[in-house]
Amino acid sequence: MTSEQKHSIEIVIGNPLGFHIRPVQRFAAMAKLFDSHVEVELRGQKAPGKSIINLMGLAGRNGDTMRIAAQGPDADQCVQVLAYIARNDFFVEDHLDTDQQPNRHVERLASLASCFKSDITATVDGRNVDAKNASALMRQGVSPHTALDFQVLGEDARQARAIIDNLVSNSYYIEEEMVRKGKGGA
Amino acid sequence: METEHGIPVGPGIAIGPAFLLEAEGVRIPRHYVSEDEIEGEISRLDEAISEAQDELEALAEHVSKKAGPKVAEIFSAHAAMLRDEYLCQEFRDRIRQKKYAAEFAVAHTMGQWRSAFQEDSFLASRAPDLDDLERRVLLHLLGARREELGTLKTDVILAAHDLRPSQIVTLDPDHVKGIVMDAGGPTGHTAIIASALGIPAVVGLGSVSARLTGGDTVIVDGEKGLVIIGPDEETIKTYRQRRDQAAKTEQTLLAEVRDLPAETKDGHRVDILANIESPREVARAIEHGAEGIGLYRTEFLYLTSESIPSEERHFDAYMEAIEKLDGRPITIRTVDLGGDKFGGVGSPEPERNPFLGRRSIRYCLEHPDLFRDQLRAILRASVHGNVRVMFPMVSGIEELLAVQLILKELQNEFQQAGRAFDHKMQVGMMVEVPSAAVYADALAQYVDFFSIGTNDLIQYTLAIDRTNEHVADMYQPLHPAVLRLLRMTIDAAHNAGIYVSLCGEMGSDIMYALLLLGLGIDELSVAPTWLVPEIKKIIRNVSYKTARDVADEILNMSEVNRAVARLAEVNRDLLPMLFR
Repeated sequence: MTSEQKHSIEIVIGNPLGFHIRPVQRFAAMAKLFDSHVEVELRGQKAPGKSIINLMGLAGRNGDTMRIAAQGPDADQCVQVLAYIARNDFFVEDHLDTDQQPNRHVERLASLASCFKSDITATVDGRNVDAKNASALMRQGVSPHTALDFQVLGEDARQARAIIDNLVSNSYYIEEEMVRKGKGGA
Repeated sequence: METEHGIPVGPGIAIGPAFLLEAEGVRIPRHYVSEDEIEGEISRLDEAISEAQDELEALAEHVSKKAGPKVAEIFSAHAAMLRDEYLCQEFRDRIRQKKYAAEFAVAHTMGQWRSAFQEDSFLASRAPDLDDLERRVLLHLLGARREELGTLKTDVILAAHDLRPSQIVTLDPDHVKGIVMDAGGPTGHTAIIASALGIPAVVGLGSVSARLTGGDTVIVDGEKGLVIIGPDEETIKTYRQRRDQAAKTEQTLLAEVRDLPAETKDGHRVDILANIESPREVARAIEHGAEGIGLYRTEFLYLTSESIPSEERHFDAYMEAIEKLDGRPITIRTVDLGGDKFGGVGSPEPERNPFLGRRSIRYCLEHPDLFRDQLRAILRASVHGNVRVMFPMVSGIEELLAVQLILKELQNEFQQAGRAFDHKMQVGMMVEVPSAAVYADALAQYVDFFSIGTNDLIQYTLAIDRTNEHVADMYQPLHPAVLRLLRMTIDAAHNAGIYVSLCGEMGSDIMYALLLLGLGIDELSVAPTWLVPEIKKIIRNVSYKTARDVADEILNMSEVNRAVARLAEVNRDLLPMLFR
């Protein structure tokens, strides 16, 4: 992971509110977890991908095409992760529909894990499961409320762990919401 | 020396050092630093950012517990913005490369982002977030050195991009000698208050606040709408002379008529009162010879509050005014919100046609709890002074009866609870909707007095929005239809044995004083108060008989232009000292 790489990918913004403060906040927070330099291009205008204010300044609307480019040792993983969250509504709608779609969180976990080369193993009730395999996680009954331990082994382990921690810590938010409504609590 | 042109809204001339307000009320003490201060500025900046971050995170946690994580999001978003290295680098670059003081670096950077956001319809709604963020960092930067508008110790010319009603109402006229503002127009809050307090003010200057540095000498010419930045000695001298001359003329007039009644040569008396927005204006009104308060615009309590004012808040404000009035009358108008007067708390959803919508008394009847709070405060205050109450925007008897029923219920409530209130408190209504003027004879049976609101009466009668530049010149107080409505209202009141006041702007324009006197008005409530002596002087220098003849003559003219010309001519003939 020492070589300089360049990767880029185009996505279409699929958030009704556009690339607004919360999507931008989530995007920049994720981008910051990588070593690579990240740049976002929209309608010919470029902005550093780790800067909330610059990203907001792009004024990306729902349906706009956005190019995510990364340069650096973890550029490949970085672009994959950012494109994934961008295609999934920047993960900002969680609190609205985890009730209806409890598996969404698990799919996200597996998809993000799959962006990395490292082996990522989740431990659920003493059993080990490949965290990149969504159906295996679901078979073990993993939900947003399950307590999970992760083993991450490989060259991009640091970034992989950071991304998974970010996802999991943000899902506390979901839990709190649900507990507050009296619906959740594992 | 630079001269800027704007809209004059407060009279007179002021000369003094600029006091710059940025980011909604935070003053920046200086804009530039020397080379060897740069590193110190950077550490001050870093420290302030880190303090602001801690504060925001603590706030987010607190709010999250109290109101849920959704509500707290905005604070965590602000904290995240302060962790944006690119943004912080922009602050640092301005300090290092341009030698900006830390405060100015933050204000300048955020100002640029704000302009960029405001240009984009999609981003404009986020601009207030930038304001908040800027203000928070600035407050940490300034720390103990923070200078508040409310605690000024020296005389200044206040320069700002815009002022909130709460800032204008609390400013100290003893130290704020002039106001210059980028935003604003002739009918805004700043215009009303600056004029009421007699502070020379020029608004609508575009970008004056950006061109000024704190401490710059500024001349405010509130007559011509000029602002002179960094004037030379000679210009300062000329303006000083003009200022002192104007002050002298005013003092002479004031000394001459202040303690005298507005009584015509043949013994007909008109009471001259003043309009106020806040109890702080009472003292000034009395100093200028006002015989009481003929209109207290209580909606300013709403416009200047973060929350809906409680009964106590109303009561306290009324008591403050009553104490200063020392037995002189005060007419409290119940809140007149809506139309153009919203923006503070309690704003309803936007309407297509707010001036014909749920404004004023209609809004109060829809929110009887708020209305009762205010009426209770008025009833409580009524035993402490000469209090009258009036209802704005009444368009018909049903509405009038509905509000009077609420008042009656509260009076019964007080009675049963053994609480003191003035049983004889006068209850009046404003005549400002043409329907009320047309059947004033019927309405007069239900009230103790009328007060004519000419601004709305003219606007509704002529279907003219005078803030619309395309039709503003068709806003004509001397339109025959307007004059007939005035006469109908005044005659109806007198036939019913009640008195009529007039509190609209027409009553404060010395052009119309003679005519209104002749129409038989009993009371004029004037704003700004420095006009009180002039109005008194006019009335004292004519006879009621002449004024009546003039009114009859003007009333019989079917063309506005002729009426305007004739009235100007009569004014010049009868009162050459005021109308040259």
